Amino acid sequence: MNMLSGRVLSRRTMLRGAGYAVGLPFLDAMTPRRAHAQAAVPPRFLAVFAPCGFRRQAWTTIDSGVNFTMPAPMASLDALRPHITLLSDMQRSLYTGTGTHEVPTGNFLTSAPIEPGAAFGNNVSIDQVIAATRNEPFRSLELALEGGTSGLQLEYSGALVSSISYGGPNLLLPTEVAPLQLLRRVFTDAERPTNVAEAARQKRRERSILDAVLGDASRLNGQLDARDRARLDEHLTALRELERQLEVLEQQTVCIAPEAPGSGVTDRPREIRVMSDIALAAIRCGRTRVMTFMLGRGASFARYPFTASNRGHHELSHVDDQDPVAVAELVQIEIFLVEQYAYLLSELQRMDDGNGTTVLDNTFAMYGSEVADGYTHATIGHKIIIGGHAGGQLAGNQHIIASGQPTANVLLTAAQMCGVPLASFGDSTGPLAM
Amino acid sequence: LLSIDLNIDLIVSPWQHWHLRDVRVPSSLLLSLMALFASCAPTEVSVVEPNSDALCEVPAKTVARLTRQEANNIIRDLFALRADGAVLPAEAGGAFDNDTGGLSVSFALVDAQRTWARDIAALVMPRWTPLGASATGTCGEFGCDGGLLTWTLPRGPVDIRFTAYGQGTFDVAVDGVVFQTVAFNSAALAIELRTPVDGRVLTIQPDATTYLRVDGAQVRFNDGVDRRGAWIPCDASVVGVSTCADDAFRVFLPRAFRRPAGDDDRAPLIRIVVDAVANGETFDEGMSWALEALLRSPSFWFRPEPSIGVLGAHELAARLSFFLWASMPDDELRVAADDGSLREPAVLLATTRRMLHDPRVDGGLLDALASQWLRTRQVQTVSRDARYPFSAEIAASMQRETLLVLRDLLLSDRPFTDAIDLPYTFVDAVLATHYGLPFDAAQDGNDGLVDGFVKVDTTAVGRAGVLNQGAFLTSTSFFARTSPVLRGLFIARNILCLDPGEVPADVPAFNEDDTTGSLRDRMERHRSDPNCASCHTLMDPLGFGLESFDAVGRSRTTDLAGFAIEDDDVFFDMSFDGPLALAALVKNQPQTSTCLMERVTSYALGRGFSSFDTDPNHPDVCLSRELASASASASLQTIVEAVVMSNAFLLRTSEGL
Repeated sequence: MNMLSGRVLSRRTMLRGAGYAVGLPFLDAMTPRRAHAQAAVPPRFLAVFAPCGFRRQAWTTIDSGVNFTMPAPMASLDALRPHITLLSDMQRSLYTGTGTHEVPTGNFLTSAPIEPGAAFGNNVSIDQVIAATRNEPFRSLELALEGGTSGLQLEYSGALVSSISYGGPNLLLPTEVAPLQLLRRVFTDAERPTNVAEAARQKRRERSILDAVLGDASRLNGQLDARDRARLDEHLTALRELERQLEVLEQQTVCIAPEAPGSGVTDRPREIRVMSDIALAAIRCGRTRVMTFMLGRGASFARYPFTASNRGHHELSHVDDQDPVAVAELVQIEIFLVEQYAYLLSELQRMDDGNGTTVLDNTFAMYGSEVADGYTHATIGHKIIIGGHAGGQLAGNQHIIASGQPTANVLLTAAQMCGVPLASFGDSTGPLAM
Repeated sequence: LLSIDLNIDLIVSPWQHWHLRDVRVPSSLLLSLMALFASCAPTEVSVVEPNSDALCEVPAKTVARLTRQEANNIIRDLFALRADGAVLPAEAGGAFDNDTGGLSVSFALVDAQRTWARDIAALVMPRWTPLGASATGTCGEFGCDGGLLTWTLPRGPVDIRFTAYGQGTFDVAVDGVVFQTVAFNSAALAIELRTPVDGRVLTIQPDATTYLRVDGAQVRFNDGVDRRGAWIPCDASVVGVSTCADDAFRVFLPRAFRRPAGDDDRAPLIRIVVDAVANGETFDEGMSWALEALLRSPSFWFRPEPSIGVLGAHELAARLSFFLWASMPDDELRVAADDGSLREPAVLLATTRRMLHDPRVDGGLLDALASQWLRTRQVQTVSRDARYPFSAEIAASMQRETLLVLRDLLLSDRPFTDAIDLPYTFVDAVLATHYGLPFDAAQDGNDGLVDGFVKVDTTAVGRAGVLNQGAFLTSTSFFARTSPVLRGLFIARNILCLDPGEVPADVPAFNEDDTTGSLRDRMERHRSDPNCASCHTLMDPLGFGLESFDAVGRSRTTDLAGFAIEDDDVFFDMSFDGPLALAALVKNQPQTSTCLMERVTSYALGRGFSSFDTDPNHPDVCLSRELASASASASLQTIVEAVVMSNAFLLRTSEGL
C-alpha cells in the first residue's frame, strides 16, 4: 500500500487504488498526522443491549465525576476504567401502558412513539442513521442471542422485543441470531482458515450470480405496476447493496474468520462468546463499523447455567426483596452480562487502529437496557454505559449524573460523535454535556 | 364425487352467477350441471369470468413475496429436500405470514437468501469440500495426528474421504457411534466412507498402539437421493454446455418461476454456466451457480399478477397452490394452467378438491390455520416455570395435535365451527400422559395415519375443541401462570371477531407477587373498576371459563397457590359453567361461523381483513357477500371452495373493470 505523506486519501481513492485494506482497523494513510483524535474515518458505533433492566439496589451509585466508584455489577469494567463513561438518572418518556418491554425495546435506539398493533409506528433507529453514511461491506450488522416474540403482549406487537434496529416506521430489521449464519454472511467460505486460495473464485461466482439476478429484477420491473414496483424496488435496493458490498470486498484483503462454531452450543454463556468473537472479527476485518448486539431479547426468558435455581431472567427480574436468594441470582446475571460487554471492549482495546490508537479509542460503544429496573419497569433512573473514546471526543473515567435528561440525548450525541451532524433525534433536548 | 346436495349448498348466494356458453345460470344450477359434467367426457365448457352483475368491489393488494415457509416448501417440492428452516428470517407481519402488507424485503432477507440458495445448491449438486483441521490432535501441512481426531460435520449423511498414513487400527464414529473399524498398514491408504446417520460430530480414534495421520479429509452430502437428475436431463459432454443448460432450464424454470419462461429468462442463467465452464469450472459447478442465481431471482421470490382484472390461468394456479399448499403448483395443476382448462369452473372446483386431499395441505392451509391463526407455533418458543412439565417434545406433540384435528375437520363434512367443541382429539403417548388420557398404541392408525397419534374421545375428561388443547392453552399463558385475559382476548378477537378495544394508557401493573387471593379474585378488579369493565367484561369470562386448564394445558382443580379453580362466569348475560359449556356457547354465537370464514378468506387472499371488507354499509364488497352467502354450518372444504370460486379470488382487483 502506498503510504502518502502529508496527504489524506479519500475513501474513494482508497476504493479505486490498490487499497486492499479498506475498512481495516489499521488505516494509517487515512488519518491526518496532526490530528489523531479527529480521525478522517468517523468512529464506530456499537450498541449492546442487556434485557430486563438493572436491579436498582445493586446499581446504586455513590459519587460522580472522574474516578467515580463503580456500582458493584460493573466490577468487570474497572480494568477498562479509563475508557468508561457512566451516565445515570436518564429518563425515557415514550412508553406507558401495557407494552412494558415491547415498547422500550422497540424504541431503545429510536426514542420514537410506538403504537399498539401490528402497524407499530416507531421510526429509524440511530444505528441505521449512522449506517446510512457508511461504506463498509455491511453498513451495519444487527445481532442478537435470541429472536422470537415476548409472549407477554396484550396490545403491542410481541416482535418488538426481538430487535432494537429499525429502518423507519413499521420497519423492524430482523436480527441475526445464529452464529453460523452470521459467520457465513460476513465472511465468504474462502475466508475459513482452510481454503484461502478459493477467494477469487468465490467472488467470481457471486459476481456472476448477481449479474443474472439483477438482470431478472430489471426485466420484472418492466412488467409491474407502480404499486408492486415499490416492493420490487426494496429487493433491488438490497441486491445493489450486495453488489456494492462485493465491490468493496474485492478491494479488501482476505481476512481470516474465526472457526465455524461447532454444533451443540446450547448454553447461553458459550453462545454469547461465539457470537461476540464473530462480531469482533467483523469489526477487525473492516466488514462493518456499525453494530447492534442484543445479549437477549427484551424481557428475555433466558436461563443461565450458573444460577442455582435456573429460573429465567425475566422471571427473576420480578422477584421482590423478600426473596434475597432470587435477587442475588438476578444480580449474578446482570454482572455476567456486563462481563460480556467488558469482553467486547477489552478485545476492541487490543485491536490496533493505527497512529498509536486502538479500535476502542475510535468507537462509541453504548450499553443499556429497555427498562431502568426490571422489577418496576421504571422509566426514570436509566443508566447507560459508554465505552470507548469516539475518536477522542469522550474523555472516559467519568460518571455523569444526567438529571432526568432523555436517553435520546445519548443517541443524538452518538450520531454527532460518529460524524452525523443531527440537530435533534426523537425526543432529545440536546446533546449530552460532557 | 361429493353429493349434488352438498354442491348446491356450496354457494347459495343470489349474486353468484357464472357465464356458461353465454347463458346466465344461477350458481346452484351450474354446480349441479358441473357435477353432471364431471361424470362425462369434458366437452366445450366456458371459462370462469366475473359476471358484471355480480361484480363487486375487490380491493387492491400488493404483489405477493414468498414467505419463508413458502420458499422452503417449494424446495421440498422441487428437490424432495428439506431446507434448513431457520436460514431465512421469519415474517414479522400480521395475522397470517402471507399478508402481503407485511412482506417487505429487507437487506437481511436478501442477504440471507444468498446463504439459503448456496446451501440448497450444495445439497442438490453435492461436491467434495475440505473438512479442515481437526479440533483435537495436532494439525499441520501434512494432515492431523496425535490420537483422537474430531471434526464437525455439515448436514448429512455424508460421504467422507481422506488419506491415512501409519499402521494399526482405528475406529470411525459419528456422534460417538462407531460405524467402521479400519485395520491398515500403509504409507498412504485412500479411504472413502459414508456416514450411516445425519450426525454432527465425526471422530477418528486410533487404538492405543496405532500411529495414524489423516490428510486431506473431505466430505460430500449424500442421502442416497439423486437430485441432480431431477433437473439436469442431459449429458453436457455429449450435447454441449449451452444446449444442455438450455434443456434443463426449459423444463425447470416454468416450475420454479410458476409461469411460462422465455428466452429472456433462460439466457442469463445459461451465460453463468457457459462463463463458468470457460473459466475452468465443471459443468456441474456452473449449473450449481445458475441454480443459486435462479433461487435468488425476483422471479422466484415474487408472484406478480396483472394489475387489474381477471387472473390468467398461471396466476390462478399459483393462487390456488399457495393458498392450499403454501407452495408451487404441481405438474397436474401446471398442465391445467398451460391448456387453460383451470379456468373452467368444473376443473377449478375438481382441482381444489384434489388438492385438499393431498398431504401437502398439511404444510399449507392446515399449518397456517393451526400455527398462525391458532398460534400453535408459539409453543416452540415459550418457556415454563419448573413446576410445570414442559419440553420441546411436549410442545411438538401439542402442535401436531391441533393440526391433526383441523385435518380431520377438513376431510369430514362436519361444520368448521365444530372445531370449537369437537368431542375428540388426537394424542400420542407423550400427550396422553400430559393430559392424563388413556393411550393404546395398538389404536395407531385409527385416524387413517400411522404416526403415533390415536383418535380419542375427550368429553369424559372435560375437554372439547381446539381451545381446550395444549397448544392454544400454553401459548396464551405466561411463564408461571395462566392468563385469562390473553385467552379471553384471543377468543374475542380470533374466534368471535370482536374487538375489545384499545388498552388505556394508564393501566397499573398487575402485582404478580400478591398472594392474598386467587388470580381470579384479584382480576375481578378489572370488572369492578368502571374504567376497565367495558373491555374486560368481554374478555375475562372467556378466559375464566378455561381456568380449569393450567399454563401447559393440563386439567386442574386448584392453582399453584392452592386456591380452588372457579370456571363459571357470565358472558353477555349468558351464564356458563366450565370449558364444555363455554365451548358450546362460543360455537353458537352467530358471529363465530362468519369469523372463522373470515380468517380462512384472509389467508386465501393474503391480505388482512379490514373493517371495510365486512362493513354492511358496503354491500358491494365481495367479501361481505361471500360471507353473507356461506351457511353457518359450512364445512372447511365448503368454505375453501366458496372462496376459490369467488370474485375476490379470481380477480386481482375490480378497479377498471
